Amino acid sequence: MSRIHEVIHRYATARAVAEHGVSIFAVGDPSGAQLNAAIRRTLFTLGDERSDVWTDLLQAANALRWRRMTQPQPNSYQPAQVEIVEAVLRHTKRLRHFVGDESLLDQLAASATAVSETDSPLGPLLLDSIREVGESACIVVATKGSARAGLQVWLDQAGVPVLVPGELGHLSAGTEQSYVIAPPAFVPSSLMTAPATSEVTFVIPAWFGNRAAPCSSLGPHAEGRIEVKAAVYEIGDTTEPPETLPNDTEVMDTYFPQPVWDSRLSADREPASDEVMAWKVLLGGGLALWLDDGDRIRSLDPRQPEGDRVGYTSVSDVTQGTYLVLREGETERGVMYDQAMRALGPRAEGILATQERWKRALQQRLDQRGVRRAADELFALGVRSAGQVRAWTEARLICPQRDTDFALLLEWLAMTSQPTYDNAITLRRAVHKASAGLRKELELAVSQANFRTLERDGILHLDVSHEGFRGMIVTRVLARSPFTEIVTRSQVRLPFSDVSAQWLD
Amino acid sequence: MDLALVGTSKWLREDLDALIGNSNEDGGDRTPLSAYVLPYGERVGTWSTPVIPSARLSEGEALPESCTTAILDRYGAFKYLNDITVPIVVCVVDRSIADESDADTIIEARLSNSRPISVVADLHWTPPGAVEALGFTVSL
Repeated sequence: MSRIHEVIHRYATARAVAEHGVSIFAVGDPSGAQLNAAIRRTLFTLGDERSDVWTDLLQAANALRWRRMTQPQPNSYQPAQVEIVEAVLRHTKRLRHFVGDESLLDQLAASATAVSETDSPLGPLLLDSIREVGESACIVVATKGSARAGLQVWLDQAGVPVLVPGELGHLSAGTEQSYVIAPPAFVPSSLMTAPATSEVTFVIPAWFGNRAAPCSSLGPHAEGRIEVKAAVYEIGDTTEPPETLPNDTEVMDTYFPQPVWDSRLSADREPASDEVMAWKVLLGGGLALWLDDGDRIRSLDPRQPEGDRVGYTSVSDVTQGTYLVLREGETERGVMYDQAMRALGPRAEGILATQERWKRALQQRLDQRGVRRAADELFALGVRSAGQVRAWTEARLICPQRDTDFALLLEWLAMTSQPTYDNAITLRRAVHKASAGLRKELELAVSQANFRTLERDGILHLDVSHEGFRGMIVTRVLARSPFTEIVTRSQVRLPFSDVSAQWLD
Repeated sequence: MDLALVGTSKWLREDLDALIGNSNEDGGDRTPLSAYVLPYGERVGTWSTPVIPSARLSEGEALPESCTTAILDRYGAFKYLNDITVPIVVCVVDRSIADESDADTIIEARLSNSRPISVVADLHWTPPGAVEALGFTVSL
């Protein structure tokens, strides 16, 4: 099928689903319901002010519940589950020394054990449904790569492909039905508003109460808005365990495995000159990164065709699921800067001098007025990226991205614009040239890489021969902290080992 | 030169090769889309439409000054929406993409200092089935 035919087909399936709606099979799962009830009762009883001693236990229990929902294969196909159940039991045992009322611990331990001893009833139902429709006419959709890897091993015997929402572009002809193994709230709305098949069924445990079908993010603002209806079919033993909280109880419960960020450690002060505000970003492969608000960062988009995959992402767009291209031991910015300086030859010295001069003048201004006031003044002058003013003092960040911002900045600093302005632009061009050279190298390395491995493991080592660029990795962003910390400049954008991302993926 | 296409150039070129026309009509002319758009290429005359890869914009290239309309095609192209100052910008949002950051970029632009226009009432275009459309003007 040509791209145009694929688009036409996609519109036909979208019209069909918009008209007829989607189905939700809500399947009774008594053991899972017991675990869900125990977690919710614990969250409710402890309230918002709960002590940190509960964090590890609740995180493990939540990871177990999330797997029960998104990977309903039999327990004999769940090697990682054993480890999580053991963690739940270990943490409940440890907490008995700290906690007065042990009934919550009893319920959590008993339900985790029950989950490990009974297969999810979603599994057999899914197999029956697949057989009814025919293996060649359906696909199974998993929430993400790690869940897909688990489901695929089991479903290989049934001969059904398991895909993640990003891969539904090229289905074989005759595929009519998608079975999505997650509630609508936990998958992209594209599965409903731009479905790959003309029929879509969600297979969820009955204990998960939210069955709403979300719309596209453009929808509420748009003309021709698509609203998809969902028909719910309850199947099997859907009785709730006695300890279940009433449905309307308000509990802060996210289901989705989320990192625990604790609270901000840095004092409420402005960073010193060798420091910077940065978000902590948790990455696949047990890594993390401090990300400052400055230059865009090298990223990879596996959905793009070969030769167009390596690009940049602005700092604000780095979110869960973004793939970053990083170098172990050194930032890319540093190496590119050095390379550009070498390429400029005899001109480098003069450029370095004017760069140092305006950056010094900026630093003095910031010292006099403080960052906030300086940013306000610049913004009033029309400098759009004024919020990044602190980052511009850094030697290797050449100048503001927009040329007019830079011209206004020099005016605000009361500096003559030439040759400072042209020098900065020349240097920036040299850095762009160096990084375009690197991009070609990276594209080549990426074209030989295995994306399935990247998806499964969240990390991939690239084989780049370019001098100074050995040790490049691609890694998936798992989470980004909601607040910034103050860290030293030398720490930012360098990947380091961090275990807090355990069971997030 | 008044139109520019920004996106993944390989895909844009493929789309331009597609034949358009009504196949149900007897003798319905099937003309490649490129016959109307005249993309820039090796064998073109004086006038042509540049097809600009998004990656090129990230390396410092700007749209030609004579450009009055830009079509930004999905993913990579929207990232530069704030840097593009041509009078008419058409963003093609692919709703089938699992990640909605593209649409979020558009909504951000819609919510900041913009005035809505109705594509149906003001532009006299009724979106076909399963197309969601959103129109607005922003001051530069």
